[in-house]
Amino acid sequence: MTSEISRPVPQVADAPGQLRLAWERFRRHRLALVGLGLLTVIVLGAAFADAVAPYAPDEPNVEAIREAPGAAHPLGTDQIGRDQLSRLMHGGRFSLQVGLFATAVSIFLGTGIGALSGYYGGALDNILMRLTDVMFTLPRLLALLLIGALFKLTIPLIIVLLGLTSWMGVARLVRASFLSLREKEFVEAARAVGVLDSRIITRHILPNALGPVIVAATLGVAGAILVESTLSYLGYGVQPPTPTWGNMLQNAQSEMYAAPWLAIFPGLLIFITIMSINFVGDGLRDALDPRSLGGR
Amino acid sequence: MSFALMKAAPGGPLSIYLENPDIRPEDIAAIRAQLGLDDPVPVQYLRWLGNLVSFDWGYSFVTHEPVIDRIAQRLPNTLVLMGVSLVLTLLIAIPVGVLAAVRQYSWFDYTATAGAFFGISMPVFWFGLLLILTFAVQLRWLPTSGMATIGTEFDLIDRVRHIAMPAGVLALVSAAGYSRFIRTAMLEVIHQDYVRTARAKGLRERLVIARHAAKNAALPFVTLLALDLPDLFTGAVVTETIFAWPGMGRLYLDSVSRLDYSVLMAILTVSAALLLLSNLIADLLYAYLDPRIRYR
Repeated sequence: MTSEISRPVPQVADAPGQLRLAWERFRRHRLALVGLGLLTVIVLGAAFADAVAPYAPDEPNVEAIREAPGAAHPLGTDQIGRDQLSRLMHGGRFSLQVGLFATAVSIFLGTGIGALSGYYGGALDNILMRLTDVMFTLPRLLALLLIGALFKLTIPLIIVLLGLTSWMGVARLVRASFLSLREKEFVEAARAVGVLDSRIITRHILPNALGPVIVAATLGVAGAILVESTLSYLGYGVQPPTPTWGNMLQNAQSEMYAAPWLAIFPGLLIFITIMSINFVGDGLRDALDPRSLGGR
Repeated sequence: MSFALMKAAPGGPLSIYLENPDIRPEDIAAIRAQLGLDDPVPVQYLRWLGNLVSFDWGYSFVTHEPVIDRIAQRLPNTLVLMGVSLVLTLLIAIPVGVLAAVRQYSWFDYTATAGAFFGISMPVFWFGLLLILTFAVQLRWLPTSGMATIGTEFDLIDRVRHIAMPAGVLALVSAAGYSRFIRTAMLEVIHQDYVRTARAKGLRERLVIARHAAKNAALPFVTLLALDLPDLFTGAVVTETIFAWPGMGRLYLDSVSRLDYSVLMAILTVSAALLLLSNLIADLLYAYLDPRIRYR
């Protein structure tokens, strides 16, 4: 058990030392390292798709229609002969971007709302938490589908929508940390010497509340990628011909007899990505949030 | 005690009002655009509410059938699918979670953990496609889609063959998360004093686990399960699409693609009602499992 090694005492974070300790704990989590490795490969593949991908993602080839995976096309080709590996690499850009930026939006909102709610309490807390409850009961996918049918969803719009509908968990986490931290002596001390509220929130409390938020952010990326791909699979996400992992699966079902690899690989990639992120998130949880160590 | 229950349950009628403001703005804008309605929102809202309680849910814009009929056709199918998959979920998640906790750090625990990670990371639609690929396309054991073979009388075996894959997909994916949750809840309870006392009294281990530990671990789980019921409904949208299951989820998706607002609103209302119902069930079960009804 790594929990005995050190329990971060709540005090203004001593950044380099804490980071090194966290990395030490993270390194012991073997699955998290595997996840990190896989993620690096996937992210690099997507980032340098222009240079690395064997073909252009939108280049049809009548000579190679529905070609099974082989030497020329490692993951086969689709119904108009586009190389699936290249499409997956390019599609990864959009899927990963959506995941990252949507999470950034949701963390920003969640942290802000949670911090205000937890620090000030009272009526503000009441209003914000009721808002959180209402948002929690909103059937997210149903709402997104409806919006997707009404407006043409562009990537920035999807990012904003996913962010707007996923900040509630983070808000509750941050609020809970703020509720307990604001009573601590170091906050009282800061207040006594006349530090501004805004500075107490951002400089004194927030760094100490960040551990669980980082874990939630990691898992949030996985969730956002999953929702985006579900939306695209159902036909209401990013529209073809822009490839994303989700919309590449959209037509795969009708091609299942002729070209099963079209159904297998995009999903496999989503699966591997999400699992890697979950592993990393689990590792981070052990590293940054020792209280929740499995089984205590 | 019954007073406590009354206090807890009436979250119900109130939150339906809370929730409708979420649903209204988009719907109203769209309906006004289509029909040129210019009444003030509160007037429309009240009229709609009046019609709602008298079961006059309007007519579908597309098929011109009464909306209530369409819902009545589809709702039972979805409930059957949800019910079967819920039972399957519990049959998998509870034994796995409990056993993983009782034999913590055994090979079973590790296998269950790995399995849970797989399940949590699995995109539902891809899992569905894979199952179709394996069991319908390759092995030809099960039908690819639908609820019954067309043109046959009601036949239980036929129905079971059709429901196996959609319910299986839903169950396996949600069982993954729940088994983790149950494991954590059990671990927490298992080390409590009263469990040790029960053992010290010389009760058989099996009885200790079943009566003393599991019942207490069930408390948070029941709440979680009830609160997650709407998610199951959302999951049904995807599953029903893959397997062409004629339920509410598909009706929703079809209505979205045709912008059939009267049907959409009815479905959103029904799912909100479902949410409230599940909250009520959670409260009732909670009271049954824990006579003290402690609220945190």
